Amino acid sequence: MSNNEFDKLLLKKLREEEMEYKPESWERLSQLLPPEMPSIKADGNRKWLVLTSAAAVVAMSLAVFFFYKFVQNKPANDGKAALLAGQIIAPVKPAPTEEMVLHNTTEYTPQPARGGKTPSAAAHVTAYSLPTLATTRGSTANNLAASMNIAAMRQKEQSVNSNAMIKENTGNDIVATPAQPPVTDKPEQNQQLFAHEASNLPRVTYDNYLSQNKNAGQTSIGLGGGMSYGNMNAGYAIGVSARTKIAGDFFVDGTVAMLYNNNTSNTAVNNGPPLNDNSYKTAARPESFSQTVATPAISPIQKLYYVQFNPSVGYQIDPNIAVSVGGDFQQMLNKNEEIVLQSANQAKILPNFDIGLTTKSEFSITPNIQAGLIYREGLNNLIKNESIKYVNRRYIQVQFKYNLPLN
Amino acid sequence: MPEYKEQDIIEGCRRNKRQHQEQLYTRYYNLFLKLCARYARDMHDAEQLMQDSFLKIFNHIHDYSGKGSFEGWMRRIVVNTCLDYLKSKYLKSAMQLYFPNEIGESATFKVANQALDRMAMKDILGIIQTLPPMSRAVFNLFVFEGYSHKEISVLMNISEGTSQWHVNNARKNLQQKIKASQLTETKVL
Repeated sequence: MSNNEFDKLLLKKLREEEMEYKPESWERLSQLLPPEMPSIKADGNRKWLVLTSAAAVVAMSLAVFFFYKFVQNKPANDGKAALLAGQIIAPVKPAPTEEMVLHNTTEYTPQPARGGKTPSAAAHVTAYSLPTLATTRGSTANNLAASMNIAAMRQKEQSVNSNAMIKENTGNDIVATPAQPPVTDKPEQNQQLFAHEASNLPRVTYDNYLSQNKNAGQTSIGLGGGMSYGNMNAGYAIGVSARTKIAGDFFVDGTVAMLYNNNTSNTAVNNGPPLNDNSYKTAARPESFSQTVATPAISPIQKLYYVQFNPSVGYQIDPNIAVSVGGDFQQMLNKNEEIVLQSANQAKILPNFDIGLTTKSEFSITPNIQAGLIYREGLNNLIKNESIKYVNRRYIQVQFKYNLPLN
Repeated sequence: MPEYKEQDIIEGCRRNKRQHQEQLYTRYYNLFLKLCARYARDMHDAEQLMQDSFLKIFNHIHDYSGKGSFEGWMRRIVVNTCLDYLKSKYLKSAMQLYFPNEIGESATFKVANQALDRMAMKDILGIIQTLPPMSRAVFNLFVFEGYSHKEISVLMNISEGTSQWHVNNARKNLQQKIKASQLTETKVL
């Protein structure tokens, strides 16, 4: 600021007096301005905010309720669980002892000392159940070999092949079984031992495995990210989601994410007209505006940040494929008010609180990694106010998610 | 028309409400017209510059983040519009290599100050408008907008020394013209 006396006096003189107001100047200017927009009822926004908040709370409450009802209170060892446990935990089982083989048990239980009631004349050896063998390949390969050797030795020593005798000698420890072929030195004959037993026992097939896999992991949290492509929402998203099964193959899913949108399609509009644009016809001297000079005070809207809440209900079609549909609520973070986008014919509002609908299909690449495709449609024009034109933030998002099962 | 608060005016302008826009226009008409008049060549240009500035303000009001003074934000738009006008092709030739004759130090500033005190605003603006475009712009930025010579040098793409030279010469030029106009008036009387 100048300290010169003349400058100060000049400033004072120019501030003292006022220019005469000319109403016709306003009339001329008002004709160049875009048309008025209908007003938004303040209550409308507030009402929807309350409703969506209530819906979010209800969705979360349901998720928590079902989580405790179907997951936490579920018996720890039902049939499948027991089977699964028996099969999966088997690798820690010690190599079968002679007693175990002779007592025809797959459970490792301490046996009486050798001097006790041990069926010394047991001639028939019942093989391990197939599930155990099938699921404990690493450790049971040696176990099987051991049992085969023991059986072969016994057979050589005693050469007994009678079910009645087995029953007599082993008492209650051995369950009577149909006639079994004896264990021989020939491997191809010995295979029949297992074929018979296997037919009566539950099998672990690939289908069973998938079925168990499908039901496993009732609740999980996921960390994900994605890229959006849309009419005005090329951008990125990163978020956390939680999912829990509610009934059968149905699940609820809630996602909280941060979104960054590069609002590129509106950049030109927000930069305003170039000074040499004759359509505005406001230049003091038309020829003087042939040079476009940036106006530093005006910054275009390019980057919009949102926080998103996306509750959804879905169905697990297949162990690897799920579809879901849900509401989408996004709150703009870097602008407090709704943004009005001007265009030649009409103005549209970029809502501060954006309500939409999402449909999502997900595919499990691995048990923990999912790829998803989301389609979002804005609903503001339908549900907020019929007379307002909102920008429909419609986009497709490609998403990848890493799931961490909680149970 | 009801008197709206500034925040209501901003909100209304964002929705292109004519009442709010008109109130903003009338509220700042005087300030911005005087501002434009200092940069313009005549009052007609000044009015056109003001209209251009208001149009930009209304079309870009959604860019106002709410941080800082709203008047300051608008004022920057008006000043930039005026500078764009001065930088335009039409006046470019007039700005380049225009060095008015050095004004002698003999002019008595005291007389000029007394004369200025007796002058009407329109006459003062008229004298300012006769300044060479570059000197007018630099003088306005320095005296009325409070820019430093360093800021002006960046804004106008000139050196700080040149900025100081323009301010001093504009001042001397104004003082001499004010004194001359006062002498003319005295002779007429």
